[in-house]
Amino acid sequence: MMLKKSLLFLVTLVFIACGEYQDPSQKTSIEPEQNNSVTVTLSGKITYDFVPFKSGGRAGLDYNNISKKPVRGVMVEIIDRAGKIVKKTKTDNLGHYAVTVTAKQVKVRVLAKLYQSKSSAKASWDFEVKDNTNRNALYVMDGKMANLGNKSTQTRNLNASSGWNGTRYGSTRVAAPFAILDVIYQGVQKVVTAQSDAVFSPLNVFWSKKNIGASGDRSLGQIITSHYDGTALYILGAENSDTDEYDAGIIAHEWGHYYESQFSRADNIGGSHGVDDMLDMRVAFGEGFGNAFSSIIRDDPLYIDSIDTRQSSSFVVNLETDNGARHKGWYSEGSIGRILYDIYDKNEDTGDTLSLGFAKLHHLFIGAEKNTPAFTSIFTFITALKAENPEYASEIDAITLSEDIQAINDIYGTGRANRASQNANPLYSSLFVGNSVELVTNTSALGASASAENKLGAYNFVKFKITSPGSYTLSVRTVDGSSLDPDFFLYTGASNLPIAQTEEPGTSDSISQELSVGKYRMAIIIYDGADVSRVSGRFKITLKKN
Amino acid sequence: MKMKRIKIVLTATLLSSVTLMAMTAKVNDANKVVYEVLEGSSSSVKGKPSLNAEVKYKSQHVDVGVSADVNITINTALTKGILNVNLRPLKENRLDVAEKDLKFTLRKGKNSFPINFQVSSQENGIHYINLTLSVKGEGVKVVAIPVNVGSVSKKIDNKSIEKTENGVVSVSSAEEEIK
Repeated sequence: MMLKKSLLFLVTLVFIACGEYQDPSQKTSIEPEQNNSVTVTLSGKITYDFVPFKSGGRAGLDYNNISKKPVRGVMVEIIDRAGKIVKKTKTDNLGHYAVTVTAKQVKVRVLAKLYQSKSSAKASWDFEVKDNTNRNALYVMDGKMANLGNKSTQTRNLNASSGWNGTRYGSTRVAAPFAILDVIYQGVQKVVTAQSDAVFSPLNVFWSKKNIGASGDRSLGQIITSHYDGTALYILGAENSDTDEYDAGIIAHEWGHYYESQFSRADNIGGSHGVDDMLDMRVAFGEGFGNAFSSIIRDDPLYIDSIDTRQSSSFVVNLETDNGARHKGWYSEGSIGRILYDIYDKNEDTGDTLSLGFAKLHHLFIGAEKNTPAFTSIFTFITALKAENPEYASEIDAITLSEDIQAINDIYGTGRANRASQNANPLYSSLFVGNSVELVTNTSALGASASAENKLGAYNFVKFKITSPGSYTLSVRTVDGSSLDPDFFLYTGASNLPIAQTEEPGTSDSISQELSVGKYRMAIIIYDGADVSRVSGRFKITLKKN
Repeated sequence: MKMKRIKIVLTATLLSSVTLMAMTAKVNDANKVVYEVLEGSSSSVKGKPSLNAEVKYKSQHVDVGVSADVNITINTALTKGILNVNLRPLKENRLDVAEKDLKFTLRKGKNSFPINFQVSSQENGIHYINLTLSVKGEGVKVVAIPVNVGSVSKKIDNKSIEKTENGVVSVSSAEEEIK
């Protein structure tokens, strides 16, 4: 009797084990597992719902024309019923995958992860899209836990849906992480064609449907705006406000700042900026570069930002045709973006007969631009470009002239003043050991904007050389009797981090420091109380050996 | 209760600041409890290209049904054109503030625009006021103003989270074809 009960219990357990199984990733039960393991070539295509812009780009996203695009270069895992990863692979550039699997029942898991491991003479990268509002979890997409059948091959095609139900995002926006990754994949391929052994540091890209244009707690989605913060990308996703997962120009622009930090050097100090602002030359170049890079990796001069209820409006900038004539020049990110794109692209337009492609630009970014002793600007870039491509000097000059920038022949912008109108103050004042130099600041371009620090004239630049190592004192003081407060930052070499800085209140600041032989650059900013001064002043900078 | 939303368009070329108390039912909350004042700015990160304007804001965290003061200041270096400002609750029926379209004339020496009003809500949580700024030919900027009401849960949604050898993953279902 005991044996019968035991057998009955055992049979009951077997039925439970082979019966309906709740896969935590699936909303419904899955089929009973087949009896025998089989060896199958499992293959298929991974796609995502891509939402284009309406014609012309100015009327937002077009949910009536969703198409399926391949998910390229992402990791794919084949997982058995016990939760074990039995195979790993990657999709190719058409979204296809194929593995040989021996199992009874498996599911296909697609990770929002672009990955290529390090190996000699090959590029490597690791980009993941994660949810900053849900424990920084990596986004993955699962197919069903299903039997492999009794044939030698099986096809499983998976698609990431947009979540759009006709009027709103009514279900999970599975496609969003893959739409973001697809732009990064394009960027990686562009860089690798220029440098086959490019090594990209791992990068997290944070996206969530809760990511919104508010400041506060990132774990709640309050990320302010889409941006690269020096360590990670954050991308907006709040519907009916501002979503960026389908705004390829924005993804590419922000990834461009990552590219700059990885391969080149950016002295860009950030802050609020617009395409027609009169900006600090470092900001103008950094943001202009971002705009151009965005178009270069996509081969598309349009930058489009979808916004508003049902993502029905857009902000559009065309690098080829938007002249932004109000403030052309070396302090305009609009001008810089157009110059860089014109140097790259195949279209010939007014003043542009050059098509250098990306490889030559990349070579500059990883070399001369990265190591320049001056602050990174259009001056450093064009000087290096002409030095490395002297046969194109006249074409390069024609492009810069089309943006009201006279021929550039050195990294310091010699002959130009640190303002839109001529003044006695050169862009860089030259300082010599044992001497002083006076500069008069011009604040006419600062305007009433709260973000004045990154505008033309807020920072003033000084350069000097040290030929004998030792202890030196560098000082800046007000000499017009005003109470304006100068602060300064000192740099050298290829780093964009200051080796010394002063931010003490008062009408004078100084540092005493050991300086080695080399070229140095200073950025001086003047405060009036807590704000950047909008009043001009006169200052003396002195350098002496102790 | 479904809130009635009225879209109001204000076009005043000499509009320099707006206090929108008349647009909402002002509650006399002299003794209201303010748990904290949220402050924020749109310019604290190096963000994507957009309209050259900065938005600073303050909003009071108050109880359900109590009016919260919201103070917004828009600063811009632009000196020509019309600054269009659309202000609306991001989710309908969460905040009792009507959608508004405001226009400010930009000129030299006049680049700072305060907007002050009160909102309240019958629901606990974090609510947002969506602010869209635009100047023709200059660009657009979208900012969301958070308004905390009552108890605000910061509990993280752990739905569909798995621990794997890749770390924590957020799982979604694919549309699948098996053949």
